[in-house]
Formats: sequence, structure tokens, C-alpha cells
Amino acid sequence: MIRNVKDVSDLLDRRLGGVGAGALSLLRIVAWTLVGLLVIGTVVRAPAVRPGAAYNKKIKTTWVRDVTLDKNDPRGFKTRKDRKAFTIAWIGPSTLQNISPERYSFIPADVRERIPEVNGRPVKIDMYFLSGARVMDLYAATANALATKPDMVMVDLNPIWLFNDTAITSWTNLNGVSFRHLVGDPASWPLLAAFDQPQDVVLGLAGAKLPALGDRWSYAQKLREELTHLSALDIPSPAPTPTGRTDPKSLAAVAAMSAPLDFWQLFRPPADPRSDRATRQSRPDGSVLNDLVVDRLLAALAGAGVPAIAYVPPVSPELFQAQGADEALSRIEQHLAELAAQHRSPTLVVKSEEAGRGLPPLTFNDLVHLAEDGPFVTYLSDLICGQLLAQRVTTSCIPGPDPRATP
Amino acid sequence: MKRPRLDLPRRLPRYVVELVIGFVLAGLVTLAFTASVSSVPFIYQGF
Repeated sequence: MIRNVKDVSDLLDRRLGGVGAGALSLLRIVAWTLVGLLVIGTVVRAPAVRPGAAYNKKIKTTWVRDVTLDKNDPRGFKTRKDRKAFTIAWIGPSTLQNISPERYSFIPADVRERIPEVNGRPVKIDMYFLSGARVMDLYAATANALATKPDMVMVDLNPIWLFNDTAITSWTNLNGVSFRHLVGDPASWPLLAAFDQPQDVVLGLAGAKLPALGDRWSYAQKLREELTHLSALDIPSPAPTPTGRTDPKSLAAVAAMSAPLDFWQLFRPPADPRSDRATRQSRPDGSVLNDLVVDRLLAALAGAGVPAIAYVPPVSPELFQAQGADEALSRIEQHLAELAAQHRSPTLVVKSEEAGRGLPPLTFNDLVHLAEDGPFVTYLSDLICGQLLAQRVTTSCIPGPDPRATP
Repeated sequence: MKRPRLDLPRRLPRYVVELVIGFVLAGLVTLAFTASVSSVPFIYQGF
């Protein structure tokens, strides 16, 4: 008769020969669990994952690819290896884009048009494009990029978020995959303690060796497709699209929208650039955690041993209409220069001044996204060539002309 | 000196049960962590 836990334990001991009764038995169970995880990862193959599929469709050349995986995917990035190419790892937030109704493109792709090869090697750009990236995300992406041993690194430091501690991280899926790269730098440990959860650490380490854990996003996607068949809910068919030329803001076009998000994307009120909250929220006085992130980011770039450039992309002149905005941006630039001064290295160039200050008037789509990137691409191309020549990576580097410039 | 006997026939059922428990645990661990990530593709609508 079973009356208490001890009776259950006795019964299991009799029937199962004392499984789990001793430390050795428990150890064997753990060992079999690990073997089981290895077997699952080998037998149940995760479907191949394609990074940045939506963005890559819009890049004409295959030499430039967005290597960022889905924002929920703990693997973070998927790069391509090509030893014959000159690989530039280009890390940045949404400011890597050129957005206008006439032309949507990526600034790295436009730079690649100007510098198609270095030392006879085709230039390949792995774009670590993180929409809405904050400063910790840029550091995580840089650490992952450096681990792939690129030939050059570019980092776009959007000044709006650089020293703004109201949002330091956004891509938390990178925590696990970055842990193993950042843990080697003891100065980064406060950041790991601040941002990483225990599961990020365990899964980040285990996922590197056990595909059953590392590929869990792909498994989840596969499982979701299977579970959809079991759902009692029907998937609604999309509304018929209006025929002929229709005003995208007409009632007929709105009726054809399948998700509220489509509506809000078109009709959302534009941000008022004169309000300039983001710049004024910045605290470039050394008192925020962002300082440590920027410090370690620059230290990683300085110690990478390959040419590296960190730059501040241009912001819309409209921003400067806000009272005190120019001074706020100047303080951000100055503080970045102070941090950069602590990481002087022949291989690292830090352009702490907002790039628009030294360029002819630029056209913007909104506060921080360019609508016509030509002059900025020229600036970056010259910067890259200058750095490659200074580092003697090549003896000749002359960027091509702007293919869209009006004669 | 008398050599210890392996006595495998008596211990084999225990080892088999340990193996089964280990593999079942591996399956559960995989399933649990698979369920812990959102597989709905992320669409960032703010650029």
C-alpha cells in the first residue's frame, strides 16, 4: 500500500532497480540527457534560416547582405564566409537606410558601388542592420562581427541614442549569443550582469554546441506551422485589392488593408523634429551606463587589429530648429571624442562630429533618415579609402563617382 | 584477491531506465525552450 513519498520511492526502487537513488545514477541521467540533446539536434534538422530576407530583396548586389536574423532569433546573425573577398562588417541602426519614394537603399550598398574592390579583391559587406538599435545592441553586434574576423569594421553611432539612458538595449535576443564574446573582457562584466539573465548565459553557451537548443527559433517556426493545422480558427483570406490606380489613402485602399498596422503605418502622425526630445534626454556627462557601453565598444574596435571606423551619421537640419538642440548635439559629440581619446589606436578612426556638419545640405526623409545619401556616401567612401591607405591595406583606393549625380 | 563481479544482468534494467529518462528529459528540454521563443516573424514598422 502506498501511504507516503517513501512508499513511492521504495516502489520505484524495487521496480526500477534504484534509479536516481545515488549520485552516480543522477550523473548518468544527466549524461544521457546531453546525449539526447545531441541526437535530437542531429536527427531533427532545423530548416535553413535566411537572414534579412525582406531587406536583402531590396539590395541589388549580392555582395552586400543584411546578416541579421529575426529579432526573436537567439542566434543573432548568419554570415557568409568568402576568403577571397575583402569583407567589411558594417554595424548600424536604421540610419543605414536611404528612404525616399523614389529610391530605397542601404548606405553600405551605395558605398560598395563606389568601392567595388580593394587590392583586386571584391568588396563584400556583411551588414549588421538592427532596426531601432540602441547602444548596447551596437556593442553586441560589433562583438559578434569581430568574432567573424572581418577585414574592416564600420560602426554607425546614431547620436540620438548614444548617451540616452531611457533606452539602452532593444535587441535582447543578442544577449545569449554575445555573452561568449563579451565575457573575455572583464571590463564588460558589469554590462553582462546588468543585461543578461541566467538563461541568456546558459543557453548562449549551450546553444553554441547543441543545435537542439541553439536552433530553437527555427524549431518553433516549424512547430507553429504544424500547430496551425490543429487550430479551429480559419486564416482569413486577404481582402480583394482595388483594381486600377487608387489613391493609397482612399477609403477603398484602407478597406483592402488586412492589418491595423498597415493603416497606422500610413496615417501615423509624423514626429515633430522641433520637439527634439531624444537629444535633450541625452546625458553626455559620464553619469550613465551608456558610457561604459561606448567605452567597451571603442575598446573592442581599437583592439580588433583591423581598420575600423566609428562615425556619427547626419541628422536633419530641422532638428537644429529646436532651442538648445545644437548645444545638446555638441555635448554628445564632445563626450564621444573624450571617450575615443582613451582608445587611441592606429587602426581606429572615430569621427565624433555629426557628419552633416561638414557636408553640403542634405535631404532627409525624417529626423535621422536620409532621402538622398549621395554626398554622405562620398564622405564615407573617402573615409574608408583614407583609412585603408593609411593602414597600408592597399596602395591605391579611389572611390568611383556618384552614379546618380546630375551632370 | 577476489575480483569484483560486474553483475550486469542485475543492473541492466536500471541503466536502461536511466537512458530512457535522460532521453525523455532531452525531449522535454528541447520542447520547453522551443516554446520559449516567439516564432512569429518580427516586423519592425518604425524603420
